[in-house]
Amino acid sequence: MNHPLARIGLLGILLITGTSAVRAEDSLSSLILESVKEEWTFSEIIKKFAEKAAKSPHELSSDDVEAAIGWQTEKLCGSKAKDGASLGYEDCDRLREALVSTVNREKSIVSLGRELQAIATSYELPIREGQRGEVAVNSAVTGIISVWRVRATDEAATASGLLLRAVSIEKSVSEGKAQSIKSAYDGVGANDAEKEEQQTAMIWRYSAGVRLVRGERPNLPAPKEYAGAPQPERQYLFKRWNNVESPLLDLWNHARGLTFDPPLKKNEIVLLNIKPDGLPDNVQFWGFLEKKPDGELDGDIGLQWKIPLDPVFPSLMKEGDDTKPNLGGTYPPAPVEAGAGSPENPVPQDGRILCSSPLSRRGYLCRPLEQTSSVTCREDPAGEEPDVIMLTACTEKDPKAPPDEWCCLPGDSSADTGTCSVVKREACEDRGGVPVSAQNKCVEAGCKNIEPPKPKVTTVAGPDVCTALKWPGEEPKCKTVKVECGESATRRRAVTALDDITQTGDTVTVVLHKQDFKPYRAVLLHALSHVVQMCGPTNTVYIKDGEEPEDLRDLPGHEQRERTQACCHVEQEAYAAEFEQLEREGKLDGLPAVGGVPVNAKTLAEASADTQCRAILPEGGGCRVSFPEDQSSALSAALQNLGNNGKECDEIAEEAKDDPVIRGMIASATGHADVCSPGKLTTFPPTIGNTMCFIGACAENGAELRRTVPGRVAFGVNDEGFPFDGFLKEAIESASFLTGIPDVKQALPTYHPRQLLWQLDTDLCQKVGLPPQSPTTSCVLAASRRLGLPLPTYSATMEAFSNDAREQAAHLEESTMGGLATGMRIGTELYVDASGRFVRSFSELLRLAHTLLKSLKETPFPTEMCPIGQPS
Amino acid sequence: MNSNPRAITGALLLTLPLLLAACAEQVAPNELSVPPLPPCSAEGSPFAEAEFATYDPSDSSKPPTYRWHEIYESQVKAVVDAHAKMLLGEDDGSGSSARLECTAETYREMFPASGALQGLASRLPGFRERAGQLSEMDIGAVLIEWLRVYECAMKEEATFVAPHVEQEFIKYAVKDATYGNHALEVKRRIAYIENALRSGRALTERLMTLIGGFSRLRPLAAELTCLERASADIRNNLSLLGEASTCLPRALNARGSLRDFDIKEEESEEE
Repeated sequence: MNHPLARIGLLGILLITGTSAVRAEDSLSSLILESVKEEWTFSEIIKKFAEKAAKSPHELSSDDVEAAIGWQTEKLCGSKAKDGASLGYEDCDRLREALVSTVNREKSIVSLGRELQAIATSYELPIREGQRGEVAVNSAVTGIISVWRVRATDEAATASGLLLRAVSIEKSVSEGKAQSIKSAYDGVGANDAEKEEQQTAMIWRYSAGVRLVRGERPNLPAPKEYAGAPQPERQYLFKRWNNVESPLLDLWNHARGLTFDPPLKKNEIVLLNIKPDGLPDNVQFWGFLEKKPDGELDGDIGLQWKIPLDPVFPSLMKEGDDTKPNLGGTYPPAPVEAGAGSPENPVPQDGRILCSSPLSRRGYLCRPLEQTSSVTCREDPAGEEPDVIMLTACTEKDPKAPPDEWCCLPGDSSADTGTCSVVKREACEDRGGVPVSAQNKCVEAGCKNIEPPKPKVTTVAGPDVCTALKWPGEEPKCKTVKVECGESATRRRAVTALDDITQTGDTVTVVLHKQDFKPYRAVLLHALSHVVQMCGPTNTVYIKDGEEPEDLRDLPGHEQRERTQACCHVEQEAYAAEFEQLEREGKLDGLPAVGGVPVNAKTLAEASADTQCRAILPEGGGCRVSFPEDQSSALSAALQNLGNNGKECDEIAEEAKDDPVIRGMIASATGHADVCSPGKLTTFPPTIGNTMCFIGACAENGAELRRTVPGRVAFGVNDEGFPFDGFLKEAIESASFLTGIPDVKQALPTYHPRQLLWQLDTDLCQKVGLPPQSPTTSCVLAASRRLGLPLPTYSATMEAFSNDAREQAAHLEESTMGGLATGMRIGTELYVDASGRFVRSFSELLRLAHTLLKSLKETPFPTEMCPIGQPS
Repeated sequence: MNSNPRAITGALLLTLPLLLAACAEQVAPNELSVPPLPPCSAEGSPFAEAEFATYDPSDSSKPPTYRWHEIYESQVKAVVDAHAKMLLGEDDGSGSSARLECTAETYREMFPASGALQGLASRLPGFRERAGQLSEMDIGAVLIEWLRVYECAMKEEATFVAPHVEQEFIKYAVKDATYGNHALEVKRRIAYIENALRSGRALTERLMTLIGGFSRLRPLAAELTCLERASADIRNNLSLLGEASTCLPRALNARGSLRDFDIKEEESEEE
């Protein structure tokens, strides 16, 4: 009794007692234990298949199969001689071998299938939709994004901007359906042998969703069965079970009739939480609803394994007849390419069912990850091979291709004609829109409202993410600021402005006058300072609406003095911006001092403002200046000698679109959000991003609206208002912990399978003491070598000859094991290399967060109100 | 000897997090708590304490029941189920979801060992001394050691099966203690042992394939969970900061006053 299968039979008898009760539990270990034991004891259908498939002149019974497995030759063949065809020892052994090899082969298939399934499950389960646990990557990522992002509404949105909500279906509704499914599951199959096959196939079949299987999903036709040749081995892959479909459909009808408060928005997805008692072990419901852009409610409900352990194995017995084994060999005709002939056997579309769920549709298998080819992307984009699954790939992005495109979003009702706007390429379809090639095609596509693309607001540090957050009640006075060049060649720098600032509605237009004097950028900054003043919450004016500058001369003296005060404030600030720019450009370098006063941005600003205000308000008394009043005009005159080496006006107007300083000033003028004034109530969803934007807005409001005279940009003027600023000690060491997030480069690991195989070959040759040879079979031990190295006795030499083959086999086995182990280690290295860097970026982020929190906690509060030191 | 890739896959996948942790720069090098191999024997293991075969006292002529396989399986089940509950975030009564130590310096400290794992380790000769220092990430090492101890015990039993059966026959005063019955029991027991060894290894390998895959994502998932928790902390702290920052306009007011004042009144004064 030296055959392993003999022991297996016995093991079956010994181990199976007391384990059938395990079925009720569906813990991970119990499920695995049960399936492993079943493999070692053989399932009923494998025994039945062996019984019916073995070619024997004798009638076989299930007892015969048991006897063959148990090596009970007498029991197997003892009674077979009576039919006349006597079964000798040799025949009996042949029959036993046939039965044993059949069950063994089928067992190997089952074992391998479960092994592969276990590997797939271990990878897929932690990232399955709706999975919640410690190894639940999806929900954690969504949670983190939700906490950090800047968003205007309180809707939970996913990384891709999807709207999600979850709804539970009451047990009172679902439990009856679960019981119906359980009884259908238990009662499936015409006999015990096929029961398990059908049960497994049933759950997998409806894991795609009952409506998809029935072809009721829009744009998702039911998976087609191959027509033509019978496929006994795959008979359950296309089978449908009506007694499972009807309870699932009932549940679907219940779910679609649910009322939602607030009502579902377009593209919103509802995850159905259906957790009744009474379903078969290790089986659960899943379901979702999706509001399509056309207002229709789509969705599906199905069944799935809690822990998938068994795949659908090739069917062994003909359905409903446990006397006919499926002997294989009938393969369906090859699928036909679409359009090339009959659509009966179309080429299967990869991932159609996989990508039928709205969430998995956005997964990387349904939408390959693309990364622009760069230094971090070492893969060659041109090296793509056909028929290869590409999970990630580097792509050459067409630099001419527009990053965003026009998209027509249909309206909510027939009265609403739909809106055309510029959105991200991939976002259009996600939002249920129709991509449109150009703006003028929008009307053809059914969208009459055209929303012009919004200019992107950037800051010196990058895009301004806070623009996504609309502060409640915020309605800026100016929404758009345009910069243009106008023909006014006759105007020269004098008392009158070099520019025109006009406001029409909420649009402000700055026209720079083309003239010989060319410091346009500085002039533009001057003009924009006035725009910021105009658009700010408090606007100081010295020329009222309807007045001309010339009219001011006629005002009474006291009125002129008041206007002068306002004029000096407004103009000094604008001139300061202008002259600081000139100073930066080096235009003021080398100008001689006037009356002992150095010529710099500050003195020039004072002088220019003084000159301008005196000119239009002669009785106002002029501005406060740092030098003798009679030198004021001399200072202004110095400017006339500045070179004309500035850029052309049109150039400056064009550059203004990208210039961060100018953009910042325009943003300041158009985005005055008075969100943080005393007494102001501001509400926003409590995310980290929103709170940071709020803190930023408070700091900005404080500096812009309170720090100096309200409505001004501080450019160094009005210093006298804060005489102690220069003496302030650094009170809070905030800069020490506000460090940037480290930039951890990601890269695909390099994998060279050919080189690895070559190394394995070398290793194999080295084991037999030979240099690397190709093909590797050349490294086989030469039997003749023993002739050259005879052993002391003839018998030992002969024995060595006979051991040659075994020796060779031992080397091969060792190499196979070593190869696997080496392969695993190489794989591990690749994994460690890739994920080490990946995980590191998370830990760096965490560490930063930790440092930030710790620093916040440890920041000492000052004991004095304003720690003022000595002037430095 | 079967070269089974599953064993290697499972073992390696289970050790991946350890390697990962060791390679990450910010983590101090881990001390792998795999002890030197103790002798291949049942001695000192739970199998030495339990009898291999138990007889029915009311009818000693009945074949005995073998216990060791049950002992082996029940321990594997307990350890794996505790681990699975932890992975799926279910509560195993010991507050498993709270077991993630986000402030730990290393991944080993991040995942404290479950009670079942510590319990099993404390009964293994090699791990007994360090059962208290184990991490849940040592589950692979402990399960492999448990399998080894089990296999050693079974093989030892197979070696001494004939004298053991004889001793049992005398001890339990088995009826029909004939030479033939002795030989039959020896044969039966050897067959049982060989099969139990195969099924034990197959069970462990399949379980480790599954757990290994889960464990592969564990460090990443744990970092994400910790990041999620840290994000909530940051949000709360920033909310406090946001509250405080509403004082900024007042604090920076040119008048230098920190008192509450009416914004409208102020504006009208300025005009």
